[in-house]
Amino acid sequence: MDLFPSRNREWMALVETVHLHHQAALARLSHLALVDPNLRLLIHRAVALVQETLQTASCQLLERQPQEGGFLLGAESPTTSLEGQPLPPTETPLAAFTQDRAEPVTVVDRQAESRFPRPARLADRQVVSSLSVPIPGEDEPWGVLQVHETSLRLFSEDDVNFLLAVANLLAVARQRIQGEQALQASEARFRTLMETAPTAILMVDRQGRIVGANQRAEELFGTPRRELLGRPLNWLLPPELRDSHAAHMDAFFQSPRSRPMGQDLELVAQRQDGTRFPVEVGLSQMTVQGETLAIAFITDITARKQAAQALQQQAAELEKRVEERTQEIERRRQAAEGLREILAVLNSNRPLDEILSRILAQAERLIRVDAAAIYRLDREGGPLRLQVALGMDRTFVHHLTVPLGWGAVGRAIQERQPVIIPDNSALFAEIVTQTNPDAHPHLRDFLVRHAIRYRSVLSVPIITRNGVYGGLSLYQEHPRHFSQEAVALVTSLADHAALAIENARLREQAELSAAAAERSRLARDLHDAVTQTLFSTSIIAEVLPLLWERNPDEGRRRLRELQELTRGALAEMRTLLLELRPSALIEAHLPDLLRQLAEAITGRARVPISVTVDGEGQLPSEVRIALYRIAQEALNNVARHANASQAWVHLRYFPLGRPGQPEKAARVELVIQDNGSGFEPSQDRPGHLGLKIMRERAQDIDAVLSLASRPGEGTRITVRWPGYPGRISSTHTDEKGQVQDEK
Amino acid sequence: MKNERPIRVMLVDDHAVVRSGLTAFLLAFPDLEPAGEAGSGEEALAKVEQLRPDVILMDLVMPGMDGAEATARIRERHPHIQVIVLTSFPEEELVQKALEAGAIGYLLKNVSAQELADAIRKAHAGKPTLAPEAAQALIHATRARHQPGHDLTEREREVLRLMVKGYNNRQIAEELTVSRSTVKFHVSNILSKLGVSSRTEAVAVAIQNKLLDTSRS
Repeated sequence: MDLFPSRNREWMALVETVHLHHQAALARLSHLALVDPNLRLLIHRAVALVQETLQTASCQLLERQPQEGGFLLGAESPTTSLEGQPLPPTETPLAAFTQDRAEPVTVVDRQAESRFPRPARLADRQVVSSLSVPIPGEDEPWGVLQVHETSLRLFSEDDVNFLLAVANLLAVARQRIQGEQALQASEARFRTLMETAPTAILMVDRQGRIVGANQRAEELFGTPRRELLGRPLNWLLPPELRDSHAAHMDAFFQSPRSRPMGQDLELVAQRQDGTRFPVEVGLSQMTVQGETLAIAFITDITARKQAAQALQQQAAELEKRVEERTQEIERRRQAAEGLREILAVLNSNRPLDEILSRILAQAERLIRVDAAAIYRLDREGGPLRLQVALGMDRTFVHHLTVPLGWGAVGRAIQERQPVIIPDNSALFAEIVTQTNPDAHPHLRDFLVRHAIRYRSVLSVPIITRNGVYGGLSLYQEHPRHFSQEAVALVTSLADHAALAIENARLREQAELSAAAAERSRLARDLHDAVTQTLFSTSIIAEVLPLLWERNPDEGRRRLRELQELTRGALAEMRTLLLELRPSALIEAHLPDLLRQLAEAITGRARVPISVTVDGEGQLPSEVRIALYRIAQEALNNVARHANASQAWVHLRYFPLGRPGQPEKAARVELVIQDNGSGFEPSQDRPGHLGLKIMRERAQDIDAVLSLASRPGEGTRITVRWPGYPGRISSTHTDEKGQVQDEK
Repeated sequence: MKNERPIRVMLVDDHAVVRSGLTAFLLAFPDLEPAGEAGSGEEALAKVEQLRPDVILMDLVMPGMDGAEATARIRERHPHIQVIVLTSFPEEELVQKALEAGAIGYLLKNVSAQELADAIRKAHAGKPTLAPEAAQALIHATRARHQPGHDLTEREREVLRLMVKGYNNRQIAEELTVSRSTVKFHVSNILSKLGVSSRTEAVAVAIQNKLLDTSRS
């Protein structure tokens, strides 16, 4: 826009003068804008200066009202009563327009203005020309600066620039003043924050002196602020920490960094009365006027620490209890399992020493000891003899005896209660010096080799219904206090041992009485057979001379009978011996057994029995025994019931000669036959269990027993054993064929 | 040798060996003669009529009908036939039973031929013969039955002796160096064996029957 028609020299000079004038005004205003703390005053002076400098009728500063909308008359020169008042929008169309355009707006003639309506008040004052510029704000325009002229005036570019410069100066000043006010408010807030903070705050300079402290710091350290300030920070630490803390401080200032609370060192602080308390310290730093200050946030963590400690203690205790309980449950489980195993062993028919060894093994496992032993009291008053031992050195275990009343086990038995020796090292020397080597050489040996090795002992007596049996001892190489639980467990094991011992005794008695019953049966047999034979023999022997005198033939016959009877009696005796010694029966040769049996029966029953054996072979002992028993039963029947004048025993071996079989393997056939009264096999013969027993014996060895008998035609019993068990079926068939052939 | 016919002897025994030996024995004496034999009580009953023995040598323990029963039956029907029991068992009860059944002799199978022959002859004349063991058992049984306190143990007799002396339980315990409960136990046994209900009665029975004197002698 070129509002200047010509640029001659005078005009240029005038412009230069105006320009200088403007610059002087701006210089004055800018000084005020930089230093004046009062924005209102500055505004007043600015509008006055503008009105004066531009020589206008008036100058106004309209401030935008962000909330209400519209404008407020910030200042006016010449001063009016409307200052500080909001203006109705009808009064400020130019301002609004200016603000919208965000650039200077020049109004040359209000009458001719068509961009916005004419304001009423300005019309009153007869404003003709106006210049309006926006005043920038921080985010949004602050307002509008306007000058008005009552006569027609063309505002120059310089006028516009001047007004813009003033507007900008005011904007800068406003920003400065507002910033200062905000800073003051912020500082006030900061101070309040510091003072009311629940954490003690200390500011420390590079020299380690306290330069700031809040109220909480005063309370925490029990020292008024005035005494804190200027003191070295070390003053608040226990003497022994001061050096190391100084080093930390130096390191911090070398490379200052923030360290949040929580992940930081725990320190001990000290009050002036000497009391100490744990603190947690967070560090931060701040630079004030070029000086770095360390800021320490200090929290008294006494309560927290106590709580944490209590919590930790509780947790540890709980954990310990859980651990203990778990162990206890495990121990009980093991104990129960151990006892169950022992019960299972108790119910078995194992030898006593084996059962006792198992009990010891359980004791060793459950109580976790190095060795265990059971001692037996041989007779009342001792000594104790080692019965079974586990984990002990074999070289001295054998023939080890302990006098009653000596050692843990000796005492346990004498006192009939558990004896615990947690550490025998003191006892040991005493006992060895007291021991009379002549009286107890084994004990001395025991002590020298045993007590040195095992430092702690737990012994319990083993008491059965018949009284004290002995004792059970557990040994540990290290000193140990056996718990009540261990003692109870061992006592229970000792009870089990007692049970095992009682069981063994009962079994022994049962075996003895079974053996006694067997012997008495043999005695009866001996009586029945041998005594009868011997009576008969003695009678015949006594009358033989008389008989010979009366009838030499009869005498000769009776002499022969006498021989048969004595041989029969001998055979009977041997047969009985076989019953007494079953091992002899297992080893005996079957033909020998059959001949012996026949001799015995011949003598006893006065029936001649011939024994024939064809071939030879080797039979399993159970087969030999079964065949012998069958022959025995069959010949007994002949002697008792058959009323026979002759009987035959025929044994035949048929060699198998098969590959994979023992060399002399054979199948075998045994026939026992008599010419007696016989019987009707289809009829029940009450009381004659003999036949049933014979069949069972044959079945036991997979043999087949057949019986042929008719009244008046004697009896024949045939037993066929087909060879080794597990025979092949084809062989079986083959064998049947052979058997049929023989018939 | 008198001009009398020999005594016919029948043998009853389940053991053939015994019958055979006894037959040889009978053949050795001219005044004895085997009449026949049987292996059981039943067989003996069946044959006795036909064999007509004067004397029977009878075993006691046999399968089926035993010797005592066979004896009773035979003696019932043939009272003139004498039965001598010849057995291995000297038990008092068996002796008793056999004699009650009517046997005139009871001999054990350790008897000598001569003794046996004599017994047969005496039986034939109606005179009894008892083996010493059988006689002893019989006598013991008879005496025991009539003598209260025969079954007292030595210890009980000792206690009874002190009771007769008027000792109380404590004194008896001291004298015998046993506990008082042991003495009490003995005393109650003594009362029950003598069939009495008080100490006084027990002492009276002991004195009446001279229990303590006989036990000492």
